[in-house]
Amino acid sequence: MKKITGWQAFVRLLNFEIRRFRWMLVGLMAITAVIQIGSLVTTLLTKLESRRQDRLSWNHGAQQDTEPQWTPFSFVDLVEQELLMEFTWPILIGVAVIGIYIFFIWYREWFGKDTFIYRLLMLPQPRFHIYMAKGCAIVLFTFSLVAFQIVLIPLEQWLFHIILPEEMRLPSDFSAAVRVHPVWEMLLPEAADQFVFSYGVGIISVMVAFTAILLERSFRGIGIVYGIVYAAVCAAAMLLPVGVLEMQNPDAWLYPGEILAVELTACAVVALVSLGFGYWLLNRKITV
Amino acid sequence: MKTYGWTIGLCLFSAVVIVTFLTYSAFDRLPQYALVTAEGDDSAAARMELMGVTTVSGRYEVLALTTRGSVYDSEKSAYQKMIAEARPWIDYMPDIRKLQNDYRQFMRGKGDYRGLFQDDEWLVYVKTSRTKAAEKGIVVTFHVDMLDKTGKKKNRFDTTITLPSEPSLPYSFQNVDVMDVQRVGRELHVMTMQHDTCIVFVLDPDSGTLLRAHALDFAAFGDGSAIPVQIIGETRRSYPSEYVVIRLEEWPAITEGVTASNPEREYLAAYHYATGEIRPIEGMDRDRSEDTNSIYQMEDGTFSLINYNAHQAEFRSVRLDRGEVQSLVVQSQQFGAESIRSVKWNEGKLYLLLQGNETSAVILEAPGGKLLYRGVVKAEGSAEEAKRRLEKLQIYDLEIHA
Repeated sequence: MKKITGWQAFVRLLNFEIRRFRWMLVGLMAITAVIQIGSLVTTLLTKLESRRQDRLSWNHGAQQDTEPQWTPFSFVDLVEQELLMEFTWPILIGVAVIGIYIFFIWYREWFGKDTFIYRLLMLPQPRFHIYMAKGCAIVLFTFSLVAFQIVLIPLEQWLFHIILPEEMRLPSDFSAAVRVHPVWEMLLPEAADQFVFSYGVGIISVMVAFTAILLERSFRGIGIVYGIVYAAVCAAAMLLPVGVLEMQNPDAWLYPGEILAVELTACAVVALVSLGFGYWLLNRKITV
Repeated sequence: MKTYGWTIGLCLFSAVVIVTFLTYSAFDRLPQYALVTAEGDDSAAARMELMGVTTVSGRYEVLALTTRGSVYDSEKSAYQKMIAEARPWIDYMPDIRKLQNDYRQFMRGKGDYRGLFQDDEWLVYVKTSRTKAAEKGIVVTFHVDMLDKTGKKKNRFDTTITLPSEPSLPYSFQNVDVMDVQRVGRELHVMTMQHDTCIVFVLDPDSGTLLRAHALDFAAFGDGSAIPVQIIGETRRSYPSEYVVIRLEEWPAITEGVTASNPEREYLAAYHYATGEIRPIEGMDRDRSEDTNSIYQMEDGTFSLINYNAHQAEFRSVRLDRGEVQSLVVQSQQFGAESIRSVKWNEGKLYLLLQGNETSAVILEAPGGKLLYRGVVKAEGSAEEAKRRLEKLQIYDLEIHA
C-alpha cells in the first residue's frame, strides 16, 4: 500500500471537510443570489410598472397636462435607499451559518450517528492535521462566500442596466457600489492592508473558538468554563491595546505606530498560543 | 483529481475573485483634480492643501488637493487612515512633528503643546495636576520635564502650590491652566489663565521651587473692568518668544437684570516676560461685524491680525518689540475672483482661497503684498468632463501642511 505524506493527509482531510459542507455552501450562495437579485428585479419592475401607469394615465388625459417626469437614479441610489435590508439578510444568514458551523464542524464528530471522532483520531497521521483541515475549511467557506458576493455586485449592476431604460438610470461604478452598503463595506475592504487585517483577526478568532471547543471536549463540564474564560482572555488581549492605549489621544504614552505594533503582537501571541494549546489538547488531552 | 474538484474549484474561485477585487480596488482612481500654476513658482505652494468635497456616483468624497494632485480619504490605506493620521493635527504643526522625531522618548505623553518650550539648549514641558487635600485646600502641582539638548541630560521636578494658602495669589480660582512657557535667563516663566485672572508662575529649575507668582494687572485698560479671555502665544507652540499677547474684553454693566450678549470693547495687551511690563497694542482691533472673520496669530515676535469677509481681506501686523503697524488690503476682484473663502498666514506669507468662475489660490508676501503664486483648480478629462467634475467640487478651506 502506498504510504501517504503528511501534506497529502492534510489535503485529504480538507477535501473531506469541504465535501461535507458543499451543498450547504451552494445553498447559501443560492439564497444570497435569489434574495439579492430577486429583490433588485422586483423593485425595478415595480418602478417600471409605476412609470408605465403614469404614462398611461397621462396619455388618457386623466391626470396632469404635462408628461410625467422621472428623476433618474443609479444602482448606488437604489441600494442605499431601498435595498439595504434585502441585501443584508442573505449576508447575515451566511455569517450565522458559518458561525454555527465553526462549532458544528467539531461536535458533529462526537454527536453524529457514528462517533466519527474515534476514526479520525485513530488515523496514522498527526492529529493536528484534523485541526488545520477544519480551520482551513472554515476560512475557505468564508472566502468563497465573500468571492461570490464580489461576483454578484457587477452582475446586479448589469441587471440594473439592462432592465431600466436609459432615461431612468444614472451611472455608478463598482467601488461606489461596494462603499454604499455598510455590510459590503465591512466584508469587502478595498484597501489590501485592511482586508488582510480584518480577515486575519477573523482567522485568529476561529483558532480561539477551536481551542475553546477542544477545552470543552477535553474537560467536559468544567471545560465549558475553561473555554469561555479562554475566549474572553483572548478577546481582551486583542481588543485592549487599541481600547486602552488610545490611538488618538495626544497625551497617550505610545505613538500610533507603537500601538499598532502592540496590537499586532497581541494578535500574533493569541494566534500562536491558540495553535499551540489546540495542538497540545488534541494530542494529550483528547483520548479515545 | 476529480475527488478534489470541489476543493480545487473553491480555492481557485476565491483566490482569483479576491485577488482581482483587490487589484481593481488598488488601481481604481476617483476623478483627479490638481492645483495648476497660473503665475509664480509652484514650490511656494508645495505645502498648501485645499480641503474639499466632491460627489462620485452620488456619494460624498472628502479630498485634499495640492499642486501634485488630489488625495481622497476613501483611497487611503488603512495604515494611513488609522495609524499615520491617527493624530492628524501633527501634520499641521511642523515644530511638534520635528520634536517627536528628534526627541521621541522625551515627547511621549506630552500632548498639551501649550506647555512646551524649546530653545537651543533646553526642551521643557510643563503641565499641572490638581488634588484636594483635607484641611489644606486645593493642591496644584506643576510637573516639569526638562531636557538639556546639548548633553541630552534629563531633569524632572514637581513644584506644588496650595490654594488658598499660597501667599501673594488671588484665590478666586481652583485650577491652573498652563497657556505658555518661556525661559528667561535661568528661570522658567509659566503663563496661566483661570477665571478672569492671568498669573505668571516663575520656577527655578535648579532647585525645583516656586520663586514667585504674580497676577497680571489690567486695571489700566478701559474703565478697569476688562477681563482676559484669550492668550495668543507663538503659533509654533514650542518656539521661544519674548512676548505673549492677551486679549481682553470689557462688558457693559448689567442693567435691570439684563446682561449683554457681546462685549462692549476689546483690548490687546502685550506682556514682556523679562521685565513683566504690560502695554497696550494699538491699531490691531478686529472687525467685529457679523460677516467678517478675524484671526490673531503670532510668529517670531510679529503679532498679526486678519480681518476677512467675502470680498476683502485685511492683514495687519506689528513687531511687538518695535510697535509699528503695517497693513495689506487684498480684494477678491484683484485676482478675478468673486469671493474670498479662506485666509491663512504662515511664515510671512498670506494664503488666500478664492472663488468665482474658477476656484483659485493665491500666495502673497505679507505685509509686502508681492504675488508669489497663483494657482487654479483643474479637473482631469476632456473639456466637458472636466467642467462637469469641477461643478461637483466644493473647496471649503485651505491648510498649510507641516
